[in-house]
Amino acid sequence: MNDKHHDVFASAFEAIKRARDVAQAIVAIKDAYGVDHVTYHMAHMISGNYDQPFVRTTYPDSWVSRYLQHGYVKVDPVVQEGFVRQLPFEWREVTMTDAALVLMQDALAHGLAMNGYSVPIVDKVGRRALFSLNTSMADEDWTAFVSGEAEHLSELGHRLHRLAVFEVYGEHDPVPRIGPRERECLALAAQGKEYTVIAQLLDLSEHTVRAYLKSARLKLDCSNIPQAVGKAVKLRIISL
Amino acid sequence: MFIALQAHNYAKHLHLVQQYYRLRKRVFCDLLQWDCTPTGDEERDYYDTLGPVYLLWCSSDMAVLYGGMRLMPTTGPTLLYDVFRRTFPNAAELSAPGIWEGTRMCIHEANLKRDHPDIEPGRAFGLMLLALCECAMAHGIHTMISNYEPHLKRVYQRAGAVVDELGRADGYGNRPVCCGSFDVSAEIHARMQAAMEVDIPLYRRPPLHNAEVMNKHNIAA
Repeated sequence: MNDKHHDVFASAFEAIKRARDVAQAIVAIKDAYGVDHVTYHMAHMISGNYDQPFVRTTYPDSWVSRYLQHGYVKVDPVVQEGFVRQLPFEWREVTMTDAALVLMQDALAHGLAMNGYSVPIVDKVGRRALFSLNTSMADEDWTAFVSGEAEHLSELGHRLHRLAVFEVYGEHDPVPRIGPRERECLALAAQGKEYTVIAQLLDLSEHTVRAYLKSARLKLDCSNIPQAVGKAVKLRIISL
Repeated sequence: MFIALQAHNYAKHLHLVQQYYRLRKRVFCDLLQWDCTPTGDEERDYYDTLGPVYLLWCSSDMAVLYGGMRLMPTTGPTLLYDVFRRTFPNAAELSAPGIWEGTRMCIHEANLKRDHPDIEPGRAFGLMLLALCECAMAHGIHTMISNYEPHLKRVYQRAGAVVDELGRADGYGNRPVCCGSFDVSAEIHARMQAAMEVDIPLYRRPPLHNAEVMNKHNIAA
Protein backbone atom coordinates (compact mmCIF):
# COMPACT_ATOMS: atom_id res chain seq x y z
CA MET A 1 0.00 0.00 0.00
CA ASN A 2 1.70 3.20 -1.03
CA ASP A 3 1.47 6.50 0.81
CA LYS A 4 -0.65 8.28 -1.76
CA HIS A 5 -3.34 5.60 -1.53
CA HIS A 6 -3.26 5.79 2.22
CA ASP A 7 -3.52 9.59 2.18
CA VAL A 8 -6.64 9.50 0.00
CA PHE A 9 -8.15 6.86 2.25
CA ALA A 10 -7.27 8.72 5.46
CA SER A 11 -8.69 12.00 4.16
CA ALA A 12 -11.93 10.26 3.14
CA PHE A 13 -12.15 8.45 6.49
CA GLU A 14 -11.60 11.65 8.46
CA ALA A 15 -14.11 13.48 6.25
CA ILE A 16 -16.78 10.89 7.14
CA LYS A 17 -16.02 11.43 10.82
CA ARG A 18 -16.34 15.21 10.45
CA ALA A 19 -19.45 15.03 8.27
CA ARG A 20 -22.74 16.32 9.66
CA ASP A 21 -24.64 13.53 7.91
CA VAL A 22 -24.37 10.82 5.26
CA ALA A 23 -25.30 13.23 2.46
CA GLN A 24 -22.27 15.36 3.25
CA ALA A 25 -19.99 12.35 3.75
CA ILE A 26 -20.69 10.82 0.33
CA VAL A 27 -19.77 14.07 -1.41
CA ALA A 28 -16.46 14.04 0.45
CA ILE A 29 -15.80 10.43 -0.66
CA LYS A 30 -16.70 11.31 -4.25
CA ASP A 31 -14.25 14.21 -4.20
CA ALA A 32 -11.46 12.29 -2.48
CA TYR A 33 -11.58 9.41 -4.95
CA GLY A 34 -12.57 11.39 -8.04
CA VAL A 35 -15.39 9.01 -8.97
CA ASP A 36 -18.56 10.15 -10.75
CA HIS A 37 -21.05 9.21 -8.04
CA VAL A 38 -21.34 7.67 -4.57
CA THR A 39 -24.41 6.05 -3.05
CA TYR A 40 -25.16 4.64 0.39
CA HIS A 41 -28.27 2.52 0.78
CA MET A 42 -29.47 0.89 4.00
CA ALA A 43 -32.23 -1.71 3.84
CA HIS A 44 -34.49 -1.57 6.84
CA MET A 45 -35.12 -5.26 6.96
CA ILE A 46 -32.68 -8.08 6.51
CA SER A 47 -34.77 -10.02 4.03
CA GLY A 48 -36.68 -8.79 1.06
CA ASN A 49 -38.37 -5.70 2.45
CA TYR A 50 -36.91 -2.56 0.91
CA ASP A 51 -40.05 -0.50 1.58
CA GLN A 52 -38.54 2.41 3.41
CA PRO A 53 -34.87 2.27 2.75
CA PHE A 54 -32.45 5.00 3.74
CA VAL A 55 -30.71 6.18 0.58
CA ARG A 56 -28.24 9.00 0.04
CA THR A 57 -26.70 9.54 -3.37
CA THR A 58 -24.84 12.10 -5.44
CA TYR A 59 -26.79 11.19 -8.60
CA PRO A 60 -28.61 14.18 -10.12
CA ASP A 61 -32.16 14.72 -8.83
CA SER A 62 -33.58 14.21 -12.31
CA TRP A 63 -32.20 10.67 -12.41
CA VAL A 64 -33.29 9.88 -8.85
CA SER A 65 -36.88 10.89 -9.57
CA ARG A 66 -36.92 8.96 -12.82
CA TYR A 67 -35.53 5.92 -10.99
CA LEU A 68 -38.28 6.19 -8.36
CA GLN A 69 -41.06 6.86 -10.89
CA HIS A 70 -40.19 3.79 -12.91
CA GLY A 71 -39.77 1.58 -9.87
CA TYR A 72 -36.29 0.73 -11.14
CA VAL A 73 -35.22 -0.47 -7.70
CA LYS A 74 -37.18 -3.68 -8.35
CA VAL A 75 -35.11 -4.51 -11.43
CA ASP A 76 -31.80 -2.85 -10.55
CA PRO A 77 -29.46 -5.85 -10.37
CA VAL A 78 -26.92 -3.97 -8.26
CA VAL A 79 -29.52 -3.43 -5.53
CA GLN A 80 -31.31 -6.76 -5.91
CA GLU A 81 -28.12 -8.81 -5.82
CA GLY A 82 -26.21 -6.40 -3.62
CA PHE A 83 -28.46 -6.97 -0.63
CA VAL A 84 -28.01 -10.73 -0.74
CA ARG A 85 -24.36 -10.85 -1.76
CA GLN A 86 -21.65 -10.61 0.89
CA LEU A 87 -18.47 -10.06 -1.10
CA PRO A 88 -17.76 -6.69 -2.74
CA PHE A 89 -18.45 -6.80 -6.48
CA GLU A 90 -17.95 -4.95 -9.70
CA TRP A 91 -21.14 -4.02 -11.50
CA ARG A 92 -19.86 -5.90 -14.54
CA GLU A 93 -20.39 -9.07 -12.49
CA VAL A 94 -24.15 -8.80 -11.96
CA THR A 95 -26.71 -10.85 -13.83
CA MET A 96 -28.30 -8.86 -16.63
CA THR A 97 -32.01 -9.39 -17.18
CA ASP A 98 -34.01 -7.75 -19.98
CA ALA A 99 -35.55 -5.33 -17.49
CA ALA A 100 -32.08 -4.47 -16.19
CA LEU A 101 -30.93 -3.70 -19.74
CA VAL A 102 -33.82 -1.27 -20.14
CA LEU A 103 -32.78 0.40 -16.90
CA MET A 104 -29.18 0.60 -18.12
CA GLN A 105 -30.09 2.13 -21.46
CA ASP A 106 -32.14 4.75 -19.66
CA ALA A 107 -29.30 5.47 -17.25
CA LEU A 108 -26.91 5.93 -20.18
CA ALA A 109 -29.37 8.26 -21.88
CA HIS A 110 -29.32 10.35 -18.71
CA GLY A 111 -25.56 10.67 -18.91
CA LEU A 112 -24.71 8.13 -16.25
CA ALA A 113 -21.67 5.92 -16.53
CA MET A 114 -21.90 2.16 -16.44
CA ASN A 115 -19.01 0.96 -14.35
CA GLY A 116 -19.30 0.61 -10.64
CA TYR A 117 -18.29 -1.21 -7.51
CA SER A 118 -20.41 -2.04 -4.48
CA VAL A 119 -19.53 -3.13 -0.97
CA PRO A 120 -22.26 -5.11 0.83
CA ILE A 121 -22.30 -4.28 4.54
CA VAL A 122 -23.67 -6.29 7.42
CA ASP A 123 -23.36 -5.30 11.07
CA LYS A 124 -23.53 -7.30 14.30
CA VAL A 125 -27.31 -6.88 14.59
CA GLY A 126 -27.77 -8.01 11.00
CA ARG A 127 -28.61 -4.66 9.40
CA ARG A 128 -27.66 -4.62 5.73
CA ALA A 129 -26.44 -1.77 3.56
CA LEU A 130 -24.76 -1.19 0.23
CA PHE A 131 -22.01 1.33 -0.48
CA SER A 132 -21.54 1.98 -4.19
CA LEU A 133 -19.21 3.93 -6.43
CA ASN A 134 -20.07 4.79 -10.02
CA THR A 135 -17.49 5.79 -12.62
CA SER A 136 -16.96 6.59 -16.27
CA MET A 137 -13.50 5.01 -16.07
CA ALA A 138 -12.75 2.34 -18.68
CA ASP A 139 -13.24 -1.32 -17.72
CA GLU A 140 -9.60 -2.30 -17.24
CA ASP A 141 -8.62 0.90 -15.43
CA TRP A 142 -11.56 0.60 -13.08
CA THR A 143 -10.83 -3.04 -12.31
CA ALA A 144 -7.21 -2.17 -11.54
CA PHE A 145 -8.32 0.73 -9.35
CA VAL A 146 -10.83 -1.22 -7.24
CA SER A 147 -8.55 -4.20 -6.78
CA GLY A 148 -5.92 -1.88 -5.34
CA GLU A 149 -8.43 -0.10 -3.12
CA ALA A 150 -10.73 -2.97 -2.08
CA GLU A 151 -9.62 -3.03 1.55
CA HIS A 152 -9.93 0.76 1.94
CA LEU A 153 -13.30 0.94 0.23
CA SER A 154 -14.63 -1.74 2.50
CA GLU A 155 -13.50 0.23 5.56
CA LEU A 156 -15.06 3.44 4.24
CA GLY A 157 -18.35 1.68 3.56
CA HIS A 158 -18.49 0.39 7.12
CA ARG A 159 -17.58 3.79 8.56
CA LEU A 160 -20.34 5.36 6.49
CA HIS A 161 -22.76 2.75 7.79
CA ARG A 162 -21.90 3.75 11.33
CA LEU A 163 -22.75 7.35 10.48
CA ALA A 164 -26.02 6.26 8.86
CA VAL A 165 -27.05 4.16 11.89
CA PHE A 166 -26.50 7.23 14.02
CA GLU A 167 -28.51 9.38 11.63
CA VAL A 168 -31.42 6.93 11.38
CA TYR A 169 -31.60 5.44 14.85
CA GLY A 170 -29.76 8.08 16.86
CA GLU A 171 -27.63 5.30 18.31
CA HIS A 172 -24.29 6.30 19.66
CA ASP A 173 -21.75 3.52 19.67
CA PRO A 174 -21.08 2.59 23.24
CA VAL A 175 -17.50 2.72 24.50
CA PRO A 176 -15.77 0.28 22.17
CA ARG A 177 -15.38 -3.28 23.40
CA ILE A 178 -11.66 -3.80 23.07
CA GLY A 179 -10.61 -7.39 23.72
CA PRO A 180 -7.63 -8.46 25.84
CA ARG A 181 -5.38 -9.25 22.87
CA GLU A 182 -6.25 -5.99 21.16
CA ARG A 183 -5.43 -4.14 24.38
CA GLU A 184 -2.05 -5.88 24.67
CA CYS A 185 -1.17 -4.96 21.09
CA LEU A 186 -2.25 -1.34 21.63
CA ALA A 187 -0.26 -1.09 24.87
CA LEU A 188 2.90 -2.38 23.18
CA ALA A 189 2.36 -0.11 20.18
CA ALA A 190 2.01 2.77 22.66
CA GLN A 191 5.49 1.94 23.94
CA GLY A 192 6.74 2.47 20.41
CA LYS A 193 7.35 -1.23 19.74
CA GLU A 194 7.54 -2.38 16.13
CA TYR A 195 5.13 -5.03 14.81
CA THR A 196 7.90 -7.59 14.69
CA VAL A 197 8.76 -7.01 18.35
CA ILE A 198 5.12 -7.14 19.45
CA ALA A 199 4.76 -10.38 17.50
CA GLN A 200 7.73 -11.91 19.31
CA LEU A 201 6.51 -10.78 22.72
CA LEU A 202 3.01 -12.21 22.19
CA ASP A 203 4.17 -15.28 20.28
CA LEU A 204 2.10 -14.35 17.23
CA SER A 205 2.95 -13.69 13.61
CA GLU A 206 3.45 -10.10 12.60
CA HIS A 207 0.40 -10.44 10.44
CA THR A 208 -1.92 -11.39 13.30
CA VAL A 209 -0.58 -8.46 15.31
CA ARG A 210 -1.56 -6.21 12.42
CA ALA A 211 -5.03 -7.77 12.36
CA TYR A 212 -5.54 -7.13 16.10
CA LEU A 213 -4.35 -3.56 15.72
CA LYS A 214 -6.61 -2.96 12.77
CA SER A 215 -9.59 -4.41 14.58
CA ALA A 216 -8.81 -2.20 17.61
CA ARG A 217 -8.19 0.86 15.39
CA LEU A 218 -11.60 0.60 13.74
CA LYS A 219 -13.39 -0.03 17.04
CA LEU A 220 -11.72 3.18 18.23
CA ASP A 221 -12.82 4.89 15.00
CA CYS A 222 -9.37 5.92 13.81
CA SER A 223 -7.73 5.92 10.40
CA ASN A 224 -4.22 5.19 11.68
CA ILE A 225 -2.51 3.40 14.58
CA PRO A 226 -0.88 6.39 16.38
CA GLN A 227 -4.31 8.02 16.52
CA ALA A 228 -5.85 4.81 17.89
CA VAL A 229 -3.16 4.56 20.57
CA GLY A 230 -3.82 8.17 21.61
CA LYS A 231 -7.53 7.56 21.85
CA ALA A 232 -7.07 4.33 23.82
CA VAL A 233 -4.97 6.25 26.34
CA LYS A 234 -7.56 9.00 26.57
CA LEU A 235 -10.37 6.47 27.12
CA ARG A 236 -8.18 4.73 29.73
CA ILE A 237 -8.26 1.47 27.78
CA ILE A 238 -4.49 1.44 28.15
CA SER A 239 -2.14 3.54 30.24
CA LEU A 240 1.31 4.76 29.39
CA MET B 1 -12.47 -25.57 -10.08
CA PHE B 2 -13.19 -23.37 -7.11
CA ILE B 3 -16.11 -20.96 -7.10
CA ALA B 4 -17.67 -18.59 -4.59
CA LEU B 5 -21.39 -19.21 -4.45
CA GLN B 6 -23.41 -16.39 -2.92
CA ALA B 7 -27.06 -16.13 -1.92
CA HIS B 8 -28.22 -14.66 -5.25
CA ASN B 9 -26.95 -17.83 -6.93
CA TYR B 10 -27.90 -20.57 -4.45
CA ALA B 11 -31.01 -21.52 -6.40
CA LYS B 12 -29.11 -21.71 -9.69
CA HIS B 13 -26.64 -24.21 -8.21
CA LEU B 14 -28.88 -25.82 -5.62
CA HIS B 15 -27.50 -29.31 -6.24
CA LEU B 16 -24.00 -28.11 -5.25
CA VAL B 17 -25.27 -26.43 -2.08
CA GLN B 18 -27.17 -29.59 -1.16
CA GLN B 19 -24.11 -31.76 -1.81
CA TYR B 20 -22.15 -29.46 0.50
CA TYR B 21 -24.79 -29.71 3.29
CA ARG B 22 -24.79 -33.50 2.95
CA LEU B 23 -21.00 -33.62 3.04
CA ARG B 24 -21.04 -31.52 6.20
CA LYS B 25 -23.45 -33.96 7.83
CA ARG B 26 -21.17 -36.91 7.07
CA VAL B 27 -17.99 -35.13 8.14
CA PHE B 28 -19.01 -33.04 11.14
CA CYS B 29 -21.98 -34.95 12.58
CA ASP B 30 -21.00 -38.55 11.75
CA LEU B 31 -17.21 -38.68 11.55
CA LEU B 32 -15.96 -35.92 13.86
CA GLN B 33 -19.09 -35.99 16.04
CA TRP B 34 -19.12 -32.26 16.55
CA ASP B 35 -22.01 -30.84 18.48
CA CYS B 36 -24.23 -30.28 15.44
CA THR B 37 -27.78 -31.34 14.72
CA PRO B 38 -28.43 -32.90 11.32
CA THR B 39 -31.53 -31.95 9.31
CA GLY B 40 -32.29 -35.23 7.57
CA ASP B 41 -29.14 -36.12 5.67
CA GLU B 42 -27.90 -32.51 5.74
CA GLU B 43 -26.12 -30.34 8.29
CA ARG B 44 -27.30 -26.74 8.28
CA ASP B 45 -27.40 -24.18 11.04
CA TYR B 46 -28.58 -20.66 11.79
CA TYR B 47 -25.58 -19.12 10.02
CA ASP B 48 -26.60 -20.76 6.76
CA THR B 49 -29.79 -18.69 6.86
CA LEU B 50 -27.76 -15.45 6.82
CA GLY B 51 -26.67 -15.77 3.19
CA PRO B 52 -23.03 -16.77 3.70
CA VAL B 53 -20.54 -17.25 0.88
CA TYR B 54 -19.78 -20.88 0.06
CA LEU B 55 -16.37 -21.46 -1.43
CA LEU B 56 -16.93 -24.72 -3.30
CA TRP B 57 -14.56 -27.04 -5.09
CA CYS B 58 -16.42 -28.78 -7.88
CA SER B 59 -15.92 -30.47 -11.23
CA SER B 60 -15.72 -28.14 -14.23
CA ASP B 61 -19.30 -29.05 -15.25
CA MET B 62 -20.36 -28.16 -11.70
CA ALA B 63 -21.95 -31.57 -11.20
CA VAL B 64 -19.69 -33.08 -8.53
CA LEU B 65 -18.55 -31.53 -5.25
CA TYR B 66 -15.02 -32.13 -3.92
CA GLY B 67 -15.03 -29.79 -0.96
CA GLY B 68 -16.27 -26.57 0.52
CA MET B 69 -16.23 -24.03 3.27
CA ARG B 70 -18.45 -21.24 4.55
CA LEU B 71 -17.27 -17.63 4.65
CA MET B 72 -18.79 -14.77 6.65
CA PRO B 73 -17.63 -11.22 7.37
CA THR B 74 -16.65 -10.62 11.00
CA THR B 75 -18.50 -7.29 10.95
CA GLY B 76 -21.76 -9.28 11.02
CA PRO B 77 -23.01 -12.17 13.14
CA THR B 78 -20.51 -15.04 13.03
CA LEU B 79 -20.33 -18.53 14.48
CA LEU B 80 -16.94 -18.09 16.10
CA TYR B 81 -18.09 -14.88 17.78
CA ASP B 82 -21.41 -16.23 19.03
CA VAL B 83 -20.52 -19.81 19.85
CA PHE B 84 -16.85 -19.69 20.74
CA ARG B 85 -16.67 -16.30 22.45
CA ARG B 86 -15.82 -17.89 25.79
CA THR B 87 -13.52 -20.60 24.52
CA PHE B 88 -11.80 -18.52 21.83
CA PRO B 89 -11.84 -14.96 23.21
CA ASN B 90 -8.72 -14.00 21.27
CA ALA B 91 -10.23 -15.09 17.99
CA ALA B 92 -13.72 -13.76 18.67
CA GLU B 93 -12.57 -10.22 19.34
CA LEU B 94 -11.20 -9.79 15.82
CA SER B 95 -13.91 -7.91 14.00
CA ALA B 96 -13.27 -5.59 11.07
CA PRO B 97 -13.94 -5.28 7.36
CA GLY B 98 -11.18 -7.29 5.71
CA ILE B 99 -11.27 -9.96 8.43
CA TRP B 100 -13.57 -12.88 7.60
CA GLU B 101 -14.28 -16.20 9.24
CA GLY B 102 -14.19 -19.55 7.50
CA THR B 103 -16.02 -22.48 9.04
CA ARG B 104 -17.21 -25.99 8.12
CA MET B 105 -14.27 -26.65 5.83
CA CYS B 106 -14.39 -30.20 4.54
CA ILE B 107 -13.46 -32.33 1.56
CA HIS B 108 -15.28 -35.16 -0.14
CA GLU B 109 -12.66 -37.91 0.03
CA ALA B 110 -14.64 -40.48 -1.97
CA ASN B 111 -15.39 -38.13 -4.89
CA LEU B 112 -11.78 -36.97 -4.95
CA LYS B 113 -10.43 -40.49 -4.86
CA ARG B 114 -12.66 -41.46 -7.77
CA ASP B 115 -12.03 -38.41 -10.01
CA HIS B 116 -8.59 -37.25 -8.82
CA PRO B 117 -6.78 -40.27 -7.35
CA ASP B 118 -3.49 -38.33 -7.45
CA ILE B 119 -4.72 -35.77 -4.89
CA GLU B 120 -4.41 -37.16 -1.36
CA PRO B 121 -6.49 -35.53 1.42
CA GLY B 122 -3.62 -33.46 2.83
CA ARG B 123 -2.98 -31.87 -0.55
CA ALA B 124 -6.72 -31.39 -1.00
CA PHE B 125 -6.91 -29.30 2.18
CA GLY B 126 -3.88 -27.33 1.00
CA LEU B 127 -5.51 -26.63 -2.37
CA MET B 128 -8.71 -25.49 -0.65
CA LEU B 129 -6.63 -23.07 1.40
CA LEU B 130 -4.82 -21.76 -1.67
CA ALA B 131 -8.15 -21.18 -3.42
CA LEU B 132 -9.39 -19.43 -0.28
CA CYS B 133 -6.34 -17.17 -0.34
CA GLU B 134 -7.08 -16.23 -3.97
CA CYS B 135 -10.77 -15.64 -3.33
CA ALA B 136 -9.97 -13.47 -0.29
CA MET B 137 -7.32 -11.44 -2.16
CA ALA B 138 -9.81 -10.73 -4.93
CA HIS B 139 -12.15 -9.11 -2.40
CA GLY B 140 -9.93 -7.04 -0.13
CA ILE B 141 -9.82 -9.65 2.65
CA HIS B 142 -6.45 -9.75 4.44
CA THR B 143 -7.13 -12.14 7.33
CA MET B 144 -9.15 -15.33 7.70
CA ILE B 145 -10.16 -16.70 11.09
CA SER B 146 -10.98 -20.38 11.04
CA ASN B 147 -11.57 -23.38 13.28
CA TYR B 148 -9.95 -26.70 12.46
CA GLU B 149 -8.89 -30.06 13.82
CA PRO B 150 -5.45 -29.93 15.53
CA HIS B 151 -3.69 -32.20 13.01
CA LEU B 152 -4.62 -29.87 10.14
CA LYS B 153 -2.24 -27.17 11.34
CA ARG B 154 0.74 -29.17 10.05
CA VAL B 155 -1.09 -29.82 6.80
CA TYR B 156 -1.70 -26.10 6.37
CA GLN B 157 1.91 -25.25 7.17
CA ARG B 158 3.18 -27.82 4.70
CA ALA B 159 0.98 -26.08 2.14
CA GLY B 160 2.92 -22.85 2.78
CA ALA B 161 0.25 -21.12 4.88
CA VAL B 162 1.00 -19.02 7.97
CA VAL B 163 -1.34 -19.99 10.80
CA ASP B 164 -1.41 -18.46 14.27
CA GLU B 165 -3.26 -20.67 16.70
CA LEU B 166 -5.35 -18.28 18.78
CA GLY B 167 -7.15 -20.83 20.91
CA ARG B 168 -7.94 -24.49 21.44
CA ALA B 169 -11.00 -26.00 23.07
CA ASP B 170 -12.17 -29.43 24.18
CA GLY B 171 -15.68 -30.69 24.32
CA TYR B 172 -16.85 -30.05 20.79
CA GLY B 173 -16.20 -33.50 19.40
CA ASN B 174 -13.77 -36.40 19.38
CA ARG B 175 -10.71 -34.18 19.31
CA PRO B 176 -10.04 -30.62 20.44
CA VAL B 177 -10.95 -27.84 18.06
CA CYS B 178 -8.42 -25.13 17.25
CA CYS B 179 -9.04 -21.63 16.12
CA GLY B 180 -6.45 -19.79 14.09
CA SER B 181 -5.72 -16.72 12.05
CA PHE B 182 -4.51 -17.09 8.45
CA ASP B 183 -2.54 -14.43 6.67
CA VAL B 184 -3.83 -13.50 3.21
CA SER B 185 -1.31 -11.67 1.04
CA ALA B 186 0.52 -11.86 -2.27
CA GLU B 187 3.57 -13.10 -0.39
CA ILE B 188 1.68 -15.97 1.25
CA HIS B 189 0.01 -16.76 -2.04
CA ALA B 190 3.40 -17.13 -3.74
CA ARG B 191 4.66 -19.30 -0.86
CA MET B 192 1.66 -21.59 -1.08
CA GLN B 193 1.92 -21.91 -4.85
CA ALA B 194 5.59 -22.84 -4.50
CA ALA B 195 5.00 -25.27 -1.62
CA MET B 196 2.29 -27.11 -3.54
CA GLU B 197 3.81 -26.69 -6.99
CA VAL B 198 0.74 -25.02 -8.40
CA ASP B 199 1.29 -22.40 -11.10
CA ILE B 200 -2.24 -21.57 -12.22
CA PRO B 201 -5.00 -19.70 -10.39
CA LEU B 202 -7.42 -22.09 -8.67
CA TYR B 203 -10.21 -19.72 -7.75
CA ARG B 204 -12.38 -18.81 -10.70
CA ARG B 205 -13.58 -15.22 -10.60
CA PRO B 206 -17.05 -14.56 -11.97
CA PRO B 207 -17.00 -13.42 -15.61
CA LEU B 208 -17.24 -9.67 -16.22
CA HIS B 209 -19.43 -8.04 -18.87
CA ASN B 210 -17.89 -5.47 -21.09
CA ALA B 211 -19.33 -2.14 -19.97
CA GLU B 212 -17.36 -0.18 -22.56
CA VAL B 213 -19.06 -1.97 -25.40
CA MET B 214 -22.45 -1.15 -23.91
CA ASN B 215 -21.52 2.51 -23.54
CA LYS B 216 -20.33 2.75 -27.15
CA HIS B 217 -23.32 0.83 -28.42
CA ASN B 218 -25.59 3.37 -26.81
CA ILE B 219 -23.74 6.34 -28.27
CA ALA B 220 -23.96 4.78 -31.71
CA ALA B 221 -27.66 4.15 -31.24
